[in-house]
Amino acid sequence: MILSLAWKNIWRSKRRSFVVMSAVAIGVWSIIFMVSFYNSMIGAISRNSLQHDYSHIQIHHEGYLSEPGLGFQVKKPSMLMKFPSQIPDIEAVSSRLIVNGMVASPKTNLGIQVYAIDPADERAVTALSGFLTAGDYFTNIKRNPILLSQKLAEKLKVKVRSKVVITVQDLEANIRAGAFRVSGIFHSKSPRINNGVIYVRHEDLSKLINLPDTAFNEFAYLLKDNESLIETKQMMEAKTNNLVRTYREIAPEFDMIEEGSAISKQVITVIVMLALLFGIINTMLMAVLERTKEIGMLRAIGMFKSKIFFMIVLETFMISWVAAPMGLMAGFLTNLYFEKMGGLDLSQYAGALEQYGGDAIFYPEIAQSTYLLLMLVVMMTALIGAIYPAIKAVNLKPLEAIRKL
Amino acid sequence: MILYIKLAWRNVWRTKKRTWITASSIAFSVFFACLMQSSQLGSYDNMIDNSARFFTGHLGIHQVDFWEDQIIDNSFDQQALFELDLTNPSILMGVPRLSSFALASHGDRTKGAALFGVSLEEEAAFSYLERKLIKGDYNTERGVLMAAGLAANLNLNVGDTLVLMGQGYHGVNAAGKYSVTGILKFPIPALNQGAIYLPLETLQEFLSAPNMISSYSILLEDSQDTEGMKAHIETILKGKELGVMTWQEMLPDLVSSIELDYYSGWVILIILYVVIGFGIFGTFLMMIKERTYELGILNAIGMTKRRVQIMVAIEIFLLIFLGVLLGVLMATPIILYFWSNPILLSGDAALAMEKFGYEPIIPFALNFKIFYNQGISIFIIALFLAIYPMLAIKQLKIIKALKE
Repeated sequence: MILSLAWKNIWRSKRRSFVVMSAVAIGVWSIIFMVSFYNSMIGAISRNSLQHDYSHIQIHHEGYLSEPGLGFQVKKPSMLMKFPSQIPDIEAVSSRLIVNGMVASPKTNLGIQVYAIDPADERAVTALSGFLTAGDYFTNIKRNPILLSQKLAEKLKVKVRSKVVITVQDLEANIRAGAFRVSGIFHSKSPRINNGVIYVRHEDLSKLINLPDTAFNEFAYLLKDNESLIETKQMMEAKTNNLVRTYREIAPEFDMIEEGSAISKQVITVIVMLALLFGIINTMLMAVLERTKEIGMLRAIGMFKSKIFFMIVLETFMISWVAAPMGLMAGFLTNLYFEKMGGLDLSQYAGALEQYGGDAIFYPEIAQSTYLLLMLVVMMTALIGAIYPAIKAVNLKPLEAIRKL
Repeated sequence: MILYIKLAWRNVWRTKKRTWITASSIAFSVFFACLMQSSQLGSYDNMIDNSARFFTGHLGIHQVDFWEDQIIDNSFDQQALFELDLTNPSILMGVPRLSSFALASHGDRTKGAALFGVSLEEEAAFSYLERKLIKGDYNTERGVLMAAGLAANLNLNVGDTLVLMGQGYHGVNAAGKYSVTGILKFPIPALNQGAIYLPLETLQEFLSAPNMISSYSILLEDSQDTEGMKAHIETILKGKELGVMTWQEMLPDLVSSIELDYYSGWVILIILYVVIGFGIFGTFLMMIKERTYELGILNAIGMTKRRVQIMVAIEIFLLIFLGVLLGVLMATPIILYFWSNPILLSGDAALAMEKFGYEPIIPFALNFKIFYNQGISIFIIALFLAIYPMLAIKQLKIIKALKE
């Protein structure tokens, strides 16, 4: 009985109910939009830095952390190379020799990290070859080819086939310089790599600094998926006495960025819900005050206080029940629209976004569970918003209420 | 008019509860919007100030080819500037800077480093360089000040000797030994991992570039007043091989990240305002519905509809004004507090900020513009929403209203 009474009450004042419903629906819709937007940005940053920079797992000599350089090379590198055939979840491996140095063009010189790699392996792990904007992937130059980022190329004023000189220190602290030619220019999705990494072939660098072909100080592994990260790490640890770390251990910012975005999403949700709360209290209180006489009458003819209370709460609930799914639907459709339209294009701000390792095109991302969670949050908000007006309704004195107006 | 205001004032306070509900929902949105904009603008000011003081100045005077091609050969003789009169009330100060790149070695370790030749005394006031000192002495004649991260990588400490190798003016080989007199700690990783500061003359000598500087950085009274000053300085520099650039031109990524952040902040605010707007609209709806009888009477005893409209409009204005005032009053002490005590982030959050090259603090800006922006926004929304009550009054049927 109370149920149908509440339902009828809502539709008695269509305009008012419509206003509250719109507020709830727009609030829900905007939360979905913002959350999808955030997810998309954070997802892109994490993905870019995972897939194009850190990879899932890296192996170093345990001394390498405190003193990165040639001094601490990985132990038994041939073992590490075989991991992809031994451990099922590993997709690819890239072995690297990393050394700090300087690159000089006729114009200027810059401090950089030299990554000496096997081109085919590196391509399989970080998809480096996919980022080329000019030249090609180590094939057009016979002797000492080098790959560098667009950013560095602009600073150095070099083009494809330009000559640059790389200066590094060998194991005995002698300065060694070698002439290289630019084979390709890339624009990676990782800002760290764009800002200061250049790629050369392993055989060229090891010749320059007089190290054997088997000298490496970093192994990076790409896994088939993220699920088996920990097991794969443990399997690797059992087979080697080098230091094995997952990308989360190497770069704690993965966790921080995710945590930071979770906090931002919660803050937005709370703010919108607070605004909604004001709207709900506001309207329901009006609804109660407006119906003073009627509620007094109900009380006078013997309706229990608890039932009146319940009726008001139910009215609030119903309004949200009708409105929240509309908002969810609108959010879902907006996301669908952007997906179909090829994402939300913010290329205008590409410079700023790339600086953080994000993408200029946003594809809305949202977990199914968010819809459900949001529904619950709206219910909670409606409940809290209903309490005060309901108490007001209960506390009306039947006699005074009837006499009023 | 006084009568209208009196009537409206009494009407507003006759229904205290409704007034407070409406005012508090407006106050909440204004309060939140002010805090958010204050922290946003504060961060921008801080970012601009940091970048301008450390890297480019609000304005930078360079040899015309320097910005395209930042090499030592594109430096200029600072004598050229001494002949000019650059004093202007908008210009706070200017400093000469020479920058270059070299390999820095200590023992068996070598790293690339950015060299900054500066006038240490002036730089203490310009970029507050002295405040970054964590060890040793700031004032040095022939020594160098090293960034802490770089010093740690090279295993260097105060008193140790550093070897620098690089390319000097017009391709001359440059090499020298310098003692480290101080260690500087920078919050920005790029600086902390690779900056070396030297007295200007020392670097000029190292690069065989006597009297040459690569830029003359100028700090303005107001960081936004760059275009006008740029034009002013350009007329002074006429005929020289020198050009002047604004920080907006020199730091385009900073400008676009500020814009992006500013607009995304506005998106959140607009959502907030729309949701709040519905709440306000609900109140207006009630206000008219509840008072149909009363307004009908007023109309019936001879108050024209236009006058009723004016009265209700003043009521709405009072409500909005009360809400905005309340919001501003709540926000002001908090903004004031955080303005003088910026929030210092620590732990993970600080690391994340530093990764993106920012100082791990959340500063707040104290700017009239913040309150003004929010006041105007709310006012526009209310103006829009007030269309409904005005129309409702216009369509009021006296007979029908009196029957209620």
